[in-house]
Amino acid sequence: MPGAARDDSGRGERHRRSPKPFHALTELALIGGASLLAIFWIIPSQTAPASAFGLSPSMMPITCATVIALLALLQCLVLLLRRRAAPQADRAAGERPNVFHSLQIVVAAVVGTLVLASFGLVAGGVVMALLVSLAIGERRFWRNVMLCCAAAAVMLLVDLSGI
Amino acid sequence: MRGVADAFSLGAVASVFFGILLGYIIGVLPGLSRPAALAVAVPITYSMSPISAIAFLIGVTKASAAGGATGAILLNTPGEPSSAATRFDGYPLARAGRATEALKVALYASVFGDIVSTLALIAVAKPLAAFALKMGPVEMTAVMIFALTFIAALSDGSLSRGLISGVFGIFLATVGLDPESATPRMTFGMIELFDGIPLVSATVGMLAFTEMLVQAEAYLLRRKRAEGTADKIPQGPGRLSWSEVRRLVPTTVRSTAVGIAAGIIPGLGPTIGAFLSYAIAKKTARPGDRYGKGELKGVAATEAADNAVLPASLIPLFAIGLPGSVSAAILVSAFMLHGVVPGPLIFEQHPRLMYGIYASMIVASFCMLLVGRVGLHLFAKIMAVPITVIVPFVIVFCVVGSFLERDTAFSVYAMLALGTLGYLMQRYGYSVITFLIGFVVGPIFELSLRQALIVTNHDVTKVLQHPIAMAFLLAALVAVIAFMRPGKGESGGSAS
Repeated sequence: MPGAARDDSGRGERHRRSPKPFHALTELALIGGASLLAIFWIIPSQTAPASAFGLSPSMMPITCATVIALLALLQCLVLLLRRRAAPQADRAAGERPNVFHSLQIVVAAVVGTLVLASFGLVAGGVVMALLVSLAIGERRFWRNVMLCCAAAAVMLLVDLSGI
Repeated sequence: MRGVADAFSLGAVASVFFGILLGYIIGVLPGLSRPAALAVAVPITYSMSPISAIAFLIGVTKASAAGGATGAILLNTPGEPSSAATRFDGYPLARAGRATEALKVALYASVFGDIVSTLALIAVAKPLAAFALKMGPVEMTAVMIFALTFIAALSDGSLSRGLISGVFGIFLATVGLDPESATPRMTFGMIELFDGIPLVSATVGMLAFTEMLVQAEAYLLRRKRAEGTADKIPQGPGRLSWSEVRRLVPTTVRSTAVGIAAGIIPGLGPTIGAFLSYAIAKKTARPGDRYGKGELKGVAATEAADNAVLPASLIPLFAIGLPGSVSAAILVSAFMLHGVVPGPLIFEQHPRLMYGIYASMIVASFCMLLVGRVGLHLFAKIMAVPITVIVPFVIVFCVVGSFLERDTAFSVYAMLALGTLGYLMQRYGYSVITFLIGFVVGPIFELSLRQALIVTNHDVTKVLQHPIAMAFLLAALVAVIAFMRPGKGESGGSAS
């Protein structure tokens, strides 16, 4: 695979960006900010007050959020102190993965789920398979027809099996 | 002997065989995890005799563990979390045209780990259960801190990012009712969240759905670069030479021991066992070993450990009634369904059943070898299926599997949300595997921590009175120091 953006295993090393102060501080702001939001707003507002006995129900979530905030700070310091640049992604700008394609697949899955919940497994499975296939750029008519037929058959089998 | 004869009856052997077949198919399919398969299989055993029922479920469990490696090797999509570590070397091997070799090694290592672990269960159940009895909440908390730290250190990117992922997993596991007072936490008024975020949705979303997004993205990139869209990779002869087998033996034996230990210690389970085993194998690598780039030893290490966990996890279950893994916990419900209560009295009350189960486990191991070997090339055909067919089908299975868990669309939306989150985490260097392990052990960790705080009366210094806990905490500290060293963290990770 070209560049450091992806290893042979297919799982990304796309995170290996240069440890510029801006990236480090942005990461800290996002994760640290989300942790603080959880500690001071989400957890208190979404946890009912407990009775007198035992430990507080919010003890564990607050501990986790605090640890995450501290680790985000540590991560930021490590990135700021480390001067050695990590390998840069060498993809051309036009070759960067487009998040929009992934978003299309998520939307296809959501639409398929809505159909599944309303019209059952077979209809949902067929619609979802077709939409996902279209989302990943498959435009051959007969390939899509066969995919829909196969999806219908499998869903029918699942439906009839009573699982 | 009557118990052994029961295990060799036609009904019991047929149950094992069909359990193996079903387990293998489920294991191969990405997104259908071992616990999900077991949970689906338990109701099928209503009308069976206790020995047939347990034999069938053991068959499902063992084969789904072995089958999980197929997806990990061929598609980089593990059938279940415990097979995730198999991807590190299995998938690069498949990409290098050595898929058949990797599948063979996975199968033989699985069967070896399984048989040895079963023999260990038979031989040392009672003496080793005495060790498990010593594990109090303080020790359990320390064990889980050690396990999470170690696994975070193995994740791609830095140790701190790995730990953030793990702790975030524990954080999300706290959603739902508080274990002590049953107070709703972060449920946003949704009744569906009272039971917490569905485990199957998290597993399927974070592993299978995320992987499909990544695969689709990679396919579109390849197409854009006009590299051709052929997905077929020329495969080698797939034979294993004797020198390769000899090279694999020490790793397989060591990993089986790690798997047995991970099975005996409650709470660790197959995922941690497989990752720990991989980490140890990688750390003890010899010059020339290509861990992370396509090393057969890596596949043997994870698969032997993964399959050694289940039989070993039955040791504390049979001895003290404490399940050592999620699968063992589901097996408890099957035992109860047939009027058998696992625990110290099981050997006195149901000796015939116990020996029957032991014999069935051995039969299941050999059935697994037979089915796996015969079906090896059949399963390898998955490589010939184009990615434009695999992605839609796997996504449909992800959605349907999540939907069937609670029969509501909520589980699917949770799966999609977590899948999208996993995709973003992976994109920015946060390990989804560490997240998932944190999420799975989260409830046990919280319970142990709460109990430990009560036991020590909130006095941290009292941990010094627990030598086992101290040993694990020191080991965690050593792991942190070792992996924080320059050149170890940012560049050395490869776990996810």
